[in-house]
Amino acid sequence: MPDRWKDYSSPGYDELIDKNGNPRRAADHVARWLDRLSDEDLKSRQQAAQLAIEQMGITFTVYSDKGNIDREWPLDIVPRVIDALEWSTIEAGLQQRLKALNLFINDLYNEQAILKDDIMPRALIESSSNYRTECRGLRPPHGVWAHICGSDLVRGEDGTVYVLEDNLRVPSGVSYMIENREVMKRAMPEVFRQCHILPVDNYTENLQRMLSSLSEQQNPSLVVLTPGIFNSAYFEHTFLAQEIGAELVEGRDLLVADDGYVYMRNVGGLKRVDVIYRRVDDEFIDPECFNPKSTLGVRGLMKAWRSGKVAIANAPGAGVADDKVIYSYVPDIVRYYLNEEPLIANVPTYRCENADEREYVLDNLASLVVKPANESGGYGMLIGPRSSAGEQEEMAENIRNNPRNYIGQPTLTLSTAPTISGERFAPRHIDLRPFVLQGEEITVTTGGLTRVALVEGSLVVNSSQGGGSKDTWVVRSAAPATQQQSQEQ
Amino acid sequence: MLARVAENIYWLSRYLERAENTVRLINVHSNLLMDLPTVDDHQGWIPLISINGLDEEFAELHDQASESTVNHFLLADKTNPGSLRCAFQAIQINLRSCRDIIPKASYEAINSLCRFVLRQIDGSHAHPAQRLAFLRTVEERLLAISGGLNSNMSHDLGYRFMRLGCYLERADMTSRIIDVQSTRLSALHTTREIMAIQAQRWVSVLRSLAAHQMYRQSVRRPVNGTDTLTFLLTDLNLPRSYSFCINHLDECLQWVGDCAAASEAVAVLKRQLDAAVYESLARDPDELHLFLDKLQLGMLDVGAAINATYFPPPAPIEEPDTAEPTASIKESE
Repeated sequence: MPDRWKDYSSPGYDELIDKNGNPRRAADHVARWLDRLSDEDLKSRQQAAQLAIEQMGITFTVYSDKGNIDREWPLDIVPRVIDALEWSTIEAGLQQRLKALNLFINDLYNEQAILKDDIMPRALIESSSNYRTECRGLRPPHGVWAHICGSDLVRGEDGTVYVLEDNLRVPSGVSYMIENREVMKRAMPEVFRQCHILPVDNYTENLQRMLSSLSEQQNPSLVVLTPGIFNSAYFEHTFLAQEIGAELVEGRDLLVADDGYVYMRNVGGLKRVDVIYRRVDDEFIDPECFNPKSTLGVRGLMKAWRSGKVAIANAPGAGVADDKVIYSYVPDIVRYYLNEEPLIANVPTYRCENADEREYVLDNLASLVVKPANESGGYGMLIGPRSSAGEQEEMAENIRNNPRNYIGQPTLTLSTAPTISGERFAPRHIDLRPFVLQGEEITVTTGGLTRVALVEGSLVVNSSQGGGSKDTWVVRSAAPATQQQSQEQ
Repeated sequence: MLARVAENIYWLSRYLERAENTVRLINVHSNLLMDLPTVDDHQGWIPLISINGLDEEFAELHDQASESTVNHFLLADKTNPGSLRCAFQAIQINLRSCRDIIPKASYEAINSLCRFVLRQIDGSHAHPAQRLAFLRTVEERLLAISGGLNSNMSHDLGYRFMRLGCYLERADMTSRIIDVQSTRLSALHTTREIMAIQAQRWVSVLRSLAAHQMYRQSVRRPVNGTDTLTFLLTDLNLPRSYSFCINHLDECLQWVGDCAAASEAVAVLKRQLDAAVYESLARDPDELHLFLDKLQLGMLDVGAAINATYFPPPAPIEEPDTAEPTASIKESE
């Protein structure tokens, strides 16, 4: 019998295997099952998954000098397992966080109580590139601005789960979470019934219900607005449109008519649109209001939205809370609006805007992670311990030129999960992106999308930069897992 | 349904139908040639090029038609827009833009067939036996796709546009197959030779349209020109007969609505079929050729009317690296 765990040792916290080399309770069943597979069988399961991904057309688009290339979505068939008990705490923390963030955004565009009470400096908001003065004085349905949030969670060496960032603009990845499960069911059908894995596919129904709740119409007409077939997440756009029964439209398919409503150009003429789930950034949704050169948006859309004639999710302006400097205030935001302690911690964050924190960051570039405030996809960041002196010098220059735009964080040793490497399992760093929806109510995906850095030691999980993924199993284990966990810590 | 998406579905369906016909045609023609040992290579294979109206394009690349040049040209040639490779590339592109409309299982079947064909096509035509097996597989899978769509997709607007594309393409192909297999092939022979292969010729036409068995069941006479032409052009029950196609095309148009122009263009075709004398067409290849030519021109009018009525004027698709360098990658991860 192959022993793939031999010499298996995580540089940090491992999600499946404890310090003594034993499977954690929730992962026990699957770990044993994996061990019973022969080398050939394991290989053929991975190949079956690969084939399913090809046939199902699960792809993402990568941009390169040679044009846009569709790549097959990378999935490692060893699942990431989370105990359902632990998950319920995380779920509550995510709900708490989004609720507070939406109160915050609504406050910023209306009373600005949080600024008046000096919890947060006014200059920070006014200098945020995602703060849209065009949105002042508006109250979208339910007072919710960020309807769909993808927060990135990581686990540190001591087992603590942190929120690394909140994505409140157009977070992507949820389709891969759902498709990963489909693929896994094809690749290892016999494990599912034995393992008590909670299903993940209720997300799209929740999404549809949430989007419909934004309109007063009985059966509102929903559309997904995509930048087009060249977008890296086009697969997801088609997937979601299909799942929620929405039309998948591009900017050129929509228009704002003289009556101020939004219409799509249909076969039989124009049809009214009530709710737009847009996957186009603020800046490009309306050339009349924002980037005048944008061909991805719809002229007059902002006016239609402001007058309540169409709902947009996420609402324009919601990205203000996406700013990584504002992120550092989220614990204060939770306390301020909800009068509660945050259930999930933030990663300690140094704001380069403040002179003493900036000095600390500049002095410790070799050990910190430095991120620009408004980039995403892992672009423009510096991972201190993996950087050259030249890169650090360049970053120091950037920070001095524009301190408001940078934050520093300690480099976390992200938790790992066993990942197939040849015929063995090797620990690879992972994160988790759950998706949270808020309309009339708040719902959270069961687990989320687990991304994995496939290169040994790497902390970069972004699929655009060579990351892979894993199916995420929230497992109801036979007995409470608390005892085992406390023993270990 | 968006007009843009309707157009994509319509073309997806046309290319699927075109691929199916191409595959069947090559298969049947290969079989026919095995029974015609006296026909030389060039004259035997060139009709397949003519059917698709690609004589000039072919002549630019090859002096002589042969089993290998013709099959390469029709299956794998990257420069021939009528090749099976190009049809499947077009299928892939159109599939992408209407993915949300197509049932998942059908998407998967079409997508994996595209991958299969594009991966295998270069090695698929070296040996006849291998080629025939490849073509049979592709045909079977295309038929399964068409069955899946028929059974799993709501027969709504999107489906009707799919059928529109399918019937138009199929009627077009039916007329081309009759044209080439019966007229151009016969022009190659003396009267005595024509007599000798008369039956084979019409049988081959029927087989190219997967209609031989149905002919026997329905006509119940030995295969002959008049009956075959009447059957393939006017039968109301054979799914590949010309009349069947344009009648159903017309029904789809009525279902979709706002179809006066296209429907009138179909009516012109129906009148031509009604006025035809099939005995005389069967006797005179030249007359038949002129008749079929007129049908094909009429079909172009139908296509143009559909375009003008339902599909928007072509809007340019902006590639991220030309129009707006950053726009398409604006989505945060």
